[in-house]
Amino acid sequence: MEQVNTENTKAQMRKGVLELCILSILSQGDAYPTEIIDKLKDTKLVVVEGTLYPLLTRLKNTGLLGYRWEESNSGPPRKYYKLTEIGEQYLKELQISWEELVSAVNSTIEKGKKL
Amino acid sequence: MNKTVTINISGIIFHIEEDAYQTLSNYLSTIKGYFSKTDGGNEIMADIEARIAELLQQKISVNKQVVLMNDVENVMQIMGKPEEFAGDENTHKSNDEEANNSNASHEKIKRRLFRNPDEKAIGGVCSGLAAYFDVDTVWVRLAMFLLIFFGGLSLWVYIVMWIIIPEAKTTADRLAMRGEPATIDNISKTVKEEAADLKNRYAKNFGKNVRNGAHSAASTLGNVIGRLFGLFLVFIGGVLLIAYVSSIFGISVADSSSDFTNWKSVIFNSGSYYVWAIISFIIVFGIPVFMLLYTGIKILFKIHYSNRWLNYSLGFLWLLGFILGFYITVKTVKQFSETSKIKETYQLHNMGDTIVVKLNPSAEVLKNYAFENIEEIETHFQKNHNNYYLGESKSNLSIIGQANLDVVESNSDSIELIVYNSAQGLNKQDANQNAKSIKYKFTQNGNQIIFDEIFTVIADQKFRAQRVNMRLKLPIGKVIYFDKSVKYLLDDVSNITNTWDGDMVGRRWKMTDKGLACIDCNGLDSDSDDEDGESVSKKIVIQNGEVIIDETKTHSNGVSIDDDGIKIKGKDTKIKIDENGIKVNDKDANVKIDENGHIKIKTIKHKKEKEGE
Repeated sequence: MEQVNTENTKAQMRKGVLELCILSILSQGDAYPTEIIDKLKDTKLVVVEGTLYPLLTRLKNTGLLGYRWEESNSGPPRKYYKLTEIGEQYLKELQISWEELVSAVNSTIEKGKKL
Repeated sequence: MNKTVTINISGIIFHIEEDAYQTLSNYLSTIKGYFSKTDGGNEIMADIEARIAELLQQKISVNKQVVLMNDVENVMQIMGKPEEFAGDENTHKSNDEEANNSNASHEKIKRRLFRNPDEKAIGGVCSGLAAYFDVDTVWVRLAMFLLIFFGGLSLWVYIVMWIIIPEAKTTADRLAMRGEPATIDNISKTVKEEAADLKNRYAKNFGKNVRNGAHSAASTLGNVIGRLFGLFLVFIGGVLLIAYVSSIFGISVADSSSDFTNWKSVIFNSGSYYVWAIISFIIVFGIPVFMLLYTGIKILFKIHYSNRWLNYSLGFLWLLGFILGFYITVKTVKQFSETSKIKETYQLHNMGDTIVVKLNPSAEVLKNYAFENIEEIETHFQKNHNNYYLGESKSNLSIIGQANLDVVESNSDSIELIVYNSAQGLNKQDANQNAKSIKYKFTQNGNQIIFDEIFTVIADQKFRAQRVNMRLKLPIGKVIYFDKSVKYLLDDVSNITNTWDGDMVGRRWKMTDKGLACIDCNGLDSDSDDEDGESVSKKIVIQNGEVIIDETKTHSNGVSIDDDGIKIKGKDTKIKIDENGIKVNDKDANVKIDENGHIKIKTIKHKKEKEGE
């Protein structure tokens, strides 16, 4: 049970920031899922790719993302996601609260380490 | 060499090995099963499929054109297990939902009643109930069957349940039916099971029927008819089974009675014949009853089980039993195939004009033999006539039968008694032997003939329809008196008045050229129509110069006047006047004047000569 809980907590943490990461990646330019995945893989935030698709769809459905189709030379047509205006607004809010959170968490952790 | 399947993922065509295809197909349907309830599920599926197509495309080249199992496994590893991205969605749901979900996954979900379409016999009601109560479907079906047909539960209850209980259509329904929470693990498990089931079905009747609506309706109707037929078979089989068991029970009960045991020992050639006859009965009737029930139950419960070995061996056994039964029947009946009659003629002299026929009752006869059950035999013959009984003496069995006597006109002047001892047998010789085993006696004492009521057969002889028939030949003019005791010895003795044997006794009959005529039958004598003249009617009797009003029947001489007419009786002469005319009967002649005025005169010849003898 203990083991499962730590795993679960880690997964929850990753997932919480995943949304922020996706929005950040898309703020640098439009991308299709494979590109997003490639970038996320470096950060070890995504363990399995399947996680990404429901998330993208949900973000799109809430109006944070838009998309367009582009032909591909080597495979099926690609779905390029881009940040909408609402998305940009949302990202900014998220970034602020993230920084607050990070500093708050860091200070808490530092205190915990000193003890 | 492996078989490949061509598939289209996201508009790209792949050649994929069959096992790899199965795995991929299961994987996709598992994911689909999960996302089917999510908003934009189709879109997610499309995205995932597009990614899979992209990944697979990287796996193939000009040299390697086919997608293999490890390629698929690799792709699945990259994409992750459906459970892994299931957690994802949950975290993004609202707090309330999250709470609900976690509750659901921890506690056992509330069961819901559905009809189970995967395991249905008729409408899936029973299997649904079974899932709801978490018991084996067989028991629910059995209980339903017993309740409907023996417990008074109406068939309508089932039909109403069929209508109001919804069918479990989706995977989630099926899980709810079994009370399993709709977790991804369970869904993927169920989806996999379904896929496997589907695969089996297609493998079995490939290209046959796709279960569309019309089809399933038709097959349900067919099912119901099939069931009803099965039910009918079970019903008939059940009724026959009851008859069968009770007849076997009856045989075993009869077997314990000594009477039955004795009879079977005198009818069958040997004891083992009887045993074989019983065995053959059990087989010849038992197997069809069993098969009827077996087939009925199979149809009723849709059991697709057929055991060739069982069918063949039962068929063979039945044939064997049939042949055995046939053989024993033929063997036994053959014992009766020939009849033999031994005729013995006895000349009876010095009988005078009037012969008295008497009976030596069975009790008297039996005294001569050392039978142990004399009383039993006696009462049997008092109640039954022309019948047989078994006498027991020193553990030997003897057949005892009743003798018969007929009286006919003699074509000579002498009184003759012909005794026929007859019996049946395997062949003439055997029948003859059997006839010889009959023991019968009669004695002549002056003008009396005393007949034994019964005959016996030598101990331990088989029953072969032994009979003793006697014929007493009486010359015309002779008078015979039947003692009351011979009532049952007489065997349809013909007489001119068609009088029944029972009424012939206690009276004197004279042999005429027409046949036996009653001499002292008042009211019975001439017209047999009003033979029931036993009825007490008043009549005027003039006797010895006195007029008496009499209510009883008298056979005495004199003049009587009653409803039937006027009768005058003398020693040798009788005169009767009634609505049919006038009749005069004399020793020497009969004169009759009928209502039409015709006169008939018959003289009785030879009389004096006979008297002279």
